[in-house]
Amino acid sequence: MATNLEFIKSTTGTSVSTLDVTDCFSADYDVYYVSISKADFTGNAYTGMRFLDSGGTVINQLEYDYATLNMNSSTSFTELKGTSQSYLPNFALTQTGSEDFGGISFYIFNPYDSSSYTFVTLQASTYGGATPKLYGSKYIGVHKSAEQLSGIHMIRSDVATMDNMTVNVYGVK
Amino acid sequence: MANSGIFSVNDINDLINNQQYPKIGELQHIQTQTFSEVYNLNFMEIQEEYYDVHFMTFNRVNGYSAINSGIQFYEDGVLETANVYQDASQYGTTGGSFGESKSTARNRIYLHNYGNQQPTGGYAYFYNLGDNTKYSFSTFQGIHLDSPQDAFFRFGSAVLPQASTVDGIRLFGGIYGSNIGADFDVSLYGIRYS
Repeated sequence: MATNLEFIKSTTGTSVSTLDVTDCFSADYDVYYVSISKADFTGNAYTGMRFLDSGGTVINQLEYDYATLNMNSSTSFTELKGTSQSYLPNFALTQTGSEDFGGISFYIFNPYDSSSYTFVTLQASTYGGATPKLYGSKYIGVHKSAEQLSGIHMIRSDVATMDNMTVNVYGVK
Repeated sequence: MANSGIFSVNDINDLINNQQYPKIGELQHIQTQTFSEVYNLNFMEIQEEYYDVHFMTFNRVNGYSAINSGIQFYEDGVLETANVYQDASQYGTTGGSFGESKSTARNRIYLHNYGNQQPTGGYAYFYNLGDNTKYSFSTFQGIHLDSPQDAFFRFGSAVLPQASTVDGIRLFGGIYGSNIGADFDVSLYGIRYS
């Protein structure tokens, strides 16, 4: 039974198009909690992620499946899903503005286990748009390759610059 | 903090107080309160200056049918009660009923409607409460038995779209619009280094 969080590392990027959190997975934990509460963007785009393999290389093969429900406060919800993707896309839609990024909390399961796929559950909140409204994401994802992973690679769907982003990784004990 | 490379006890204590020295247990318990026949209760010492992310759990929720738990925020000590909150949530049951709930003008964040069949629970994350340059956000999920047969879940997101310092949380645990309260435990945690 999980009893607490243990801080592993924090990585911040400023004016970058990608952000790597290296060597954050180990044999010490099976489950990881990742928190992103500080981020600003200048473009309207989704956030996405890939994993780093055991050598620190970004995995961009078509090995990712995902499904998400996009919820907003004024119009019908939408489902997005995909198989054999080159990354885990389409969560935490952000708009232009420094105050509109709420936060992303996700859990990663078994990333260091070379005999297991790696699974992700995620929830996020953001705000904005031409007619400003709340956007929420409920998300599942899987990296469908049984291999040992070492870290996280954050990206944006428009390949635009992240003004800043801080990713904090914890082990769940 | 400048140091000689060897931390004294005082150095470590100072670093811990400034969230610059890791130690076992980054899920820091702030406060636990129990609803017992009250309609709402307040968390007024949320330590928003230390944590960017707060985590709240709801446990042993039981009592009355149709308990609508909800949240309002205190901004600089003043409770925000206007229709300014926005939320969006998905609900569903094991019986096959699913639906959406959403609003751009609620007077509180609508978390979950609990029942009285079995003690159940839920959780919520809060973001940026202490940052007066940011809006205050939440994500949440809950479950209860809607009837002896059907489990009912709800998950969603919410925002108070006002750049302000949120320094308190009011939690509603009663039947909506009444003073009949429920009976459950609520715990608030801060996530260090968040």
